[in-house]
Amino acid sequence: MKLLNHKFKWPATAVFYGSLLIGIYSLSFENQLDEIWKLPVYSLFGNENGFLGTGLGKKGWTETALFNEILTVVIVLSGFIASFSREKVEDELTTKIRLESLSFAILMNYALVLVANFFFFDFAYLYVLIAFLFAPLIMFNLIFQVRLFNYYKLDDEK
Amino acid sequence: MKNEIRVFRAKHRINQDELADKLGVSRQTISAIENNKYFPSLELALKIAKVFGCTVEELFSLD
Repeated sequence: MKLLNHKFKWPATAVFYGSLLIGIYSLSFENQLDEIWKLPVYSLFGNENGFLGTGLGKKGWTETALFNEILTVVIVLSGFIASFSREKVEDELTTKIRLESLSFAILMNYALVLVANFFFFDFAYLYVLIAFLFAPLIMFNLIFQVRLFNYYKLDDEK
Repeated sequence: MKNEIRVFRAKHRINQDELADKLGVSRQTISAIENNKYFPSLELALKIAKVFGCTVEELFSLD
């Protein structure tokens, strides 16, 4: 598996968790983040008059704040870079740990999707969908870091 | 599966760090193999055998 240089790992990890906190803040509180970088964009999908005639979610040219879109790009890219950067000594065991963490994160994610499907409804489900957009990456990174921490603790000779 | 890597290391008087350097893996990986927490790939098993000048069967055997 081709991996990125080790020097990207910790800066990307810092950006990943930092941008996640900003993302949670932008969802949870009254803030002005939705007003940043308002630009005309072309929407490929939507109604002619927008959602319930409000004009929001209109098909074609519309204006939106690009902050959330850019934040999404930052979270996803930094998450991938943090999780797919080489360790200082990358060998077959670290590769195995990485792949096992990835498959476990996907399994956990879909187990949670099934549970959430029966306990979140209407607009609350929208927040669940947003959470599950990032959940596999977050769980993968966390599980991988915890398993690597335990791996680096293997110290029976020193 | 059990292995005799620790015994061979003692015979050749090399520690886990030195063996790890020769094989291009981390010391923790050598430790995991010695403690049967990880079974190496065929490629790594052959490399370990080459370092000790023995066969893979002498290093690894079924319980």
